[in-house]
Amino acid sequence: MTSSTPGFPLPGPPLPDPATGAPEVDPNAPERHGPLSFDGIRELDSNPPRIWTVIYITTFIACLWVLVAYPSIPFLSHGGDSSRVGLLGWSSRAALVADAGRAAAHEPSIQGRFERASYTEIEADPALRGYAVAAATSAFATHCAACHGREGRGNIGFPNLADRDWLWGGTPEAIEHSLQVGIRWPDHEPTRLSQMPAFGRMGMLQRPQILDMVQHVWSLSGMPHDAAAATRAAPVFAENCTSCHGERGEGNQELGAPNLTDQIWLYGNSQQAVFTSIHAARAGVMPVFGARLGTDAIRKLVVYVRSFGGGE
Amino acid sequence: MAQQPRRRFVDLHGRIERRALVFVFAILGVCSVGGLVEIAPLFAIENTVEPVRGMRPYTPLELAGRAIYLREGCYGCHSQQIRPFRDEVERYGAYSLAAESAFDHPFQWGSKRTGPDLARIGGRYSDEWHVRHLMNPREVVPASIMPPYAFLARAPLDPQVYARHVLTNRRLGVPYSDEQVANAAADMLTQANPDADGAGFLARYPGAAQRAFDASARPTEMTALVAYMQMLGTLAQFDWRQPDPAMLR
Repeated sequence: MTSSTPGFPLPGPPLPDPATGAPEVDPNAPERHGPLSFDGIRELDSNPPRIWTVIYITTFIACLWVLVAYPSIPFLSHGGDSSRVGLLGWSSRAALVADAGRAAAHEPSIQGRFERASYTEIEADPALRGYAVAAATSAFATHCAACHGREGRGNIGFPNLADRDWLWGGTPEAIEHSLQVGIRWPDHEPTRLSQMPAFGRMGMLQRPQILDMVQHVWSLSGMPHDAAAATRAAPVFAENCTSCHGERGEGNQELGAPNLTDQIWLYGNSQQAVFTSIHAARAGVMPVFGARLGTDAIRKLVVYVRSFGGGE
Repeated sequence: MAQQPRRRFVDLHGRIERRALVFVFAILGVCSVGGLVEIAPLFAIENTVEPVRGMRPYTPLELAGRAIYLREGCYGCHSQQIRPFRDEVERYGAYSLAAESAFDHPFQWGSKRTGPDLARIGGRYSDEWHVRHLMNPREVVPASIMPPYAFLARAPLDPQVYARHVLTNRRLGVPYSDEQVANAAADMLTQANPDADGAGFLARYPGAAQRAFDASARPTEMTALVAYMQMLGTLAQFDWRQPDPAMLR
């Protein structure tokens, strides 16, 4: 029944309201007639509140302003430099550089002191040391904590940075160098490089010899061991292992050869773990951070790492 | 009929509504604004994607890793877009460039970061870390909520299947040469084998890494995924404080 559909202005005289019999008129739209009520709900053809109309039109004007003021028309763009596209000359990259510049300007003068100070001076000065530790915390969390743990305590295969056992040296200079060039990082020329032979897999030692050698390695750090087996392995150790691990197994940081006389075991001290280390050899890898982080961040990380209490 | 001035706006709408053809053209006009905003920029893609030196299509192994990345829904938690804000560049590295996603179908920018952004994950950790982390994330990151993906290490990678992704990507516009398409399966095996002769492979994909990405004897899905992640963001590395103009071709 089109003639009784509410809400549609229809030509012709007003229709009576079926409830009252009197013609119903919309005060906002006198040309509308017909029942304006249905099920007790009255529908009038009113304008929306003025404020909504104002907001609606203002939004359109703001959109047009953004369109011309900021780089939004790709046809005018030339590569990454979008500063010439908008009237304001704004570009996200320039804004980032400006933001970083403002942050650098707010950095306390301590940054200048930090850059000029040697590691000895930094570690002797609580203010400089605290500054470096605070500045390096998030870089450590992003780049180092995944392997070395949030508190630098390491994991199986990932060295503990909080102890005094250092594969490649724990002096500030040695740590900085390790961070700069990485350890066994593939296809990177100046990286720290050394490779223990896989004595078992390469057939240099037979299985019984390796089992004896496990006992000998245990004896070096005073662990309970089979003395006869350890003695049998001593000449083999002298022949194959001392060139890197030293005569008494004290290690060599020039070669990243671990100290075998301490009680610290990067890959565990079980027979299985030590056997695998001799049979297949281990070669831990650390990425190159020089180009990624820059010297300033690396120097702060060095101070941070040594703040765990390790170092030499 | 007498018009009340304050009803002009509604009346205009009423007049348009009652003229079908006018109404059709009004709808077309409004809808075309959406089309203009969404589609027109695609015709200006040459202007907005700056050419960057060093960008190359993915190697077949990396492309396979990328397919696995998509299959496992890694994008659900990891974005691959570093925005040009100070907090982002200081944590993740230089902001992402459009050219770095130019060979992505589809791109993996995303905006949901349950885990960290991966746009420059390449080279941040060692291969061994990636393998152990994928096998059991909580072994190396105790607070992680990422699911383990140990099954990837048990899933052999079928070079013949994943080599077809190279052809598919070429049809989508990635500039793979005939030689790259023809050698896709062989290149996949070469890249994962440090003892293989990589001269041809490296000529086709300059600067690509050739090594055993995990300890498996034959390439697995784990190998491919680690190879993919270790190259992410490594092709265009620059100092965002002083973008090198020579980087741009």
